[in-house]
Amino acid sequence: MLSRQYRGLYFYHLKKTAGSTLSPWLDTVTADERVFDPAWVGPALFGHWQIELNDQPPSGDPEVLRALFYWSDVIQSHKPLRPFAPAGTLCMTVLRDPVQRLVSQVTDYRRLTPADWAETTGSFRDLIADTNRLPLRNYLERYGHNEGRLLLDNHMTRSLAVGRLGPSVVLVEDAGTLLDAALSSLENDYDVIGLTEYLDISRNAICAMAGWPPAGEIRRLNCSRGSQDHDPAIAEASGILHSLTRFDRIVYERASALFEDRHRAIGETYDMQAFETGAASSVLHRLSGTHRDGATFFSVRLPIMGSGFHGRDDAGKPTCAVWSGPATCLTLYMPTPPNVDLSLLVWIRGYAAERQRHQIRVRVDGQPAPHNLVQADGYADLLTIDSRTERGFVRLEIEIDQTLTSVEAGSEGYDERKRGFSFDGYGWRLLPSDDPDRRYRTP
Amino acid sequence: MLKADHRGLYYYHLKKTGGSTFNHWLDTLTFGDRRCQSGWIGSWLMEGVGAARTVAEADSDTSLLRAVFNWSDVVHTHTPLRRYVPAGTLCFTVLRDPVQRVVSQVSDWRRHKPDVTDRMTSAYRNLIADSNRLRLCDHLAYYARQEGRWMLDNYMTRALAAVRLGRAALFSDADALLDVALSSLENDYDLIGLTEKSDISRNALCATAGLPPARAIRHLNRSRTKQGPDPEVEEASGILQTLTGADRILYARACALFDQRHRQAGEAYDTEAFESRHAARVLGQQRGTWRDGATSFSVRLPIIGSGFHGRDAPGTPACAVWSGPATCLTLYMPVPPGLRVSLLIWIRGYAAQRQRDQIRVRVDGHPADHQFRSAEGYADLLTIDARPLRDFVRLEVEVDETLTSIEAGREGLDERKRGFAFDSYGWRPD
Repeated sequence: MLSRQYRGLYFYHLKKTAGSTLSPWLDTVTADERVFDPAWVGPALFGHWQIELNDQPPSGDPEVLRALFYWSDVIQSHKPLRPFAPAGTLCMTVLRDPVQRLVSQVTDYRRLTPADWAETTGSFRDLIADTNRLPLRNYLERYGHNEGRLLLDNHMTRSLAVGRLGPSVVLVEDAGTLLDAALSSLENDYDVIGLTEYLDISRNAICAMAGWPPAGEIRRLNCSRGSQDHDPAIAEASGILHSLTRFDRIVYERASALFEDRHRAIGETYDMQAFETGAASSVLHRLSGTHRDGATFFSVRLPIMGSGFHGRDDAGKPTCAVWSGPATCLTLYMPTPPNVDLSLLVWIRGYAAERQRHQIRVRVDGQPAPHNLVQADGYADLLTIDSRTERGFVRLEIEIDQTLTSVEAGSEGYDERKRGFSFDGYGWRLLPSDDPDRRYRTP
Repeated sequence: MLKADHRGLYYYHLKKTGGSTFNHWLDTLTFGDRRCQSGWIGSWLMEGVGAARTVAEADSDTSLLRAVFNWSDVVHTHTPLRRYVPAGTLCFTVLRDPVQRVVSQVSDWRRHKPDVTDRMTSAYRNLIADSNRLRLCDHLAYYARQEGRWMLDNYMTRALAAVRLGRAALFSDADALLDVALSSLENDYDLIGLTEKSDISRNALCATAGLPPARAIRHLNRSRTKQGPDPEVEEASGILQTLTGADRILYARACALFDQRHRQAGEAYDTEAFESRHAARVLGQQRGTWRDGATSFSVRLPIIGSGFHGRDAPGTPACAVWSGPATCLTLYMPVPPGLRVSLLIWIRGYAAQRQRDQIRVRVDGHPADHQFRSAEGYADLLTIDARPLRDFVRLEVEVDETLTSIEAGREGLDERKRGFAFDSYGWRPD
């Protein structure tokens, strides 16, 4: 659900640029039944281990690649789908410091277990297994120009160029011949160019473009490198690392300049006030609730406009719910009738810890508001907040003192997400009020 | 799902003006889980008269009357909600020849079975029971000044005045309400339809809302089947004229407004006008889902087209729609322009098997070959290869005849003229 300016969003997820962190967040801005499924595009183009190693240029199915933009509002893929995005699609990608990206790629392979590559070819098995057998330098020297070329040798340059030149970029030995195409694509094909190093600012710039509420904190996912400290193995491999990122560094430098030029200012300044005075009315107006016991109910299976929540659990099922977190403040926007008394509602399934129930504090449109926890069948609580709205939408903020993992890592039922409470819907119920028209209606 | 100019639609359904026919059709313009349900607000206008609630209790429910517009995009009700309608809502109502309307009202009561009146007050039960015991003129003479006053004595004037005055309009002298009713008629509605020009009225609504042109729909809840001169109506002509004095002035004004504002659009609006002015924008809002490599539009979504009945089993996974009563089903859907696709309709079954062999298809007006593929749980997956050039496609599926269940030789009465039942349609990239 984007501002009327855009019909959908395409996120070209370059490998190891923190796209996995963006993924669950982006899924929440489309309806649950329209969440992108990577299986739709299959392994025919980029993004699949076996294909990436294949010397044969893979063939795509352009009809399917065009069609999938009709199946979801938010397409996020390793596949270069930019040429297939319909007019009016907000296109974005994220780049990362090339050396860091390359090291992260190898680290990512090192986390794989034999079960992960059980069904792959022999050469690929070696490529993965050798990450743990060989020092980084030897590994890159062995695979950087061979089987691992696509992902190890100027991957960002190849990935951007493929949109212009097609999948033959896999076979090109000298990535320098792809540089112009990559730079041209970077410059012209994307409405937002984010940087992994400024992920929150990049996300906020996307929010500003798409007409979403400002980006709140989200959980980092699939971080394959835990430490940023000086690493002797990297120092030892610096020669080959620089060789394998020679053109990526030029691309990245241009991306950084474009980020500074186009996105940094908006990404640093876009805030609630900008959202609320800008896109809020038109975006929230398209959020259509349903009737539930005399209330208006917005299921978390609808697009969720707000921040301070994890991705959907049990996505695609009636039991779908969402946990607040990792930040202590959940913000939800919803459309409401203006100038009426109403009870705002959140259907709470449960808490990470019971004590959080007593920590709840609420603000409505920025003002502290008293709340009640009332009974509702099948729920831990129905959170209710009596309020009076002034606008055609409301900002509901629910704060707790702390968010928690479930138990210690390694224990049964471990959930490493910092969580507050789980909810499956929110909404409002109008309160009876003095209606100035009533005086005319006495028989 | 309406074009961008309107955030929703409110239909003030005046009783016995052909509204039941409209309602099924209107429900298909919104999502199956957002269709208007009478239980949401009850009958604000009626309660306190026919049932036990007091006027004051009914009046206190204004919060619900406002909220209902957030639960559905298309609100149709006997309740005068005009004052609670959010800005940007397309408002319309339909008026009928007042004498015909009163006669239809009494005929409607004559069809009631005792169990329908169980929850009513005894006075109201008598009113209904006596509709079969008394001749029309006697019934009107007795009840039009008592329990039945608001529905028999210039009901349309009262109902329109109630928009401005509230329920006080039910109990006042109708002549004193006329100015208010006329003002409301003139200013409160974007479209004023006439029962006598039902199809033109619907088409004018389509033009205003940016919908495909209206085609035949099944007429529902017709309480009076007798056509031509009716001695009982002749006999009651005096009191019928008396009870419709204000309504006839109101109706004359409605006719004038209809001719002035809507007739031309209602007569002229056609497929070409829809496709050139509204289709891209309206259909751009239609969101399908992935289904085995195809884009599927469930009939639980708004259905943009014509030639189908309302949803069966609405709000449940079994929801489906029958084509009919006309022999041509028209469906619009968004497609990628220039892409080779197979257009698809998931067919649950046919009213009669012979209709399967009668199917002919047109795509954007041109005859197109079709095939029947097998699909689990379906009678057929109708498949048509096409290459639409626009952002949307018009798919027309024609059969030679539509049939009631009896005509089709099936058990169980279904009086609807039907072709085939389907639960989704869509397209698959080739």
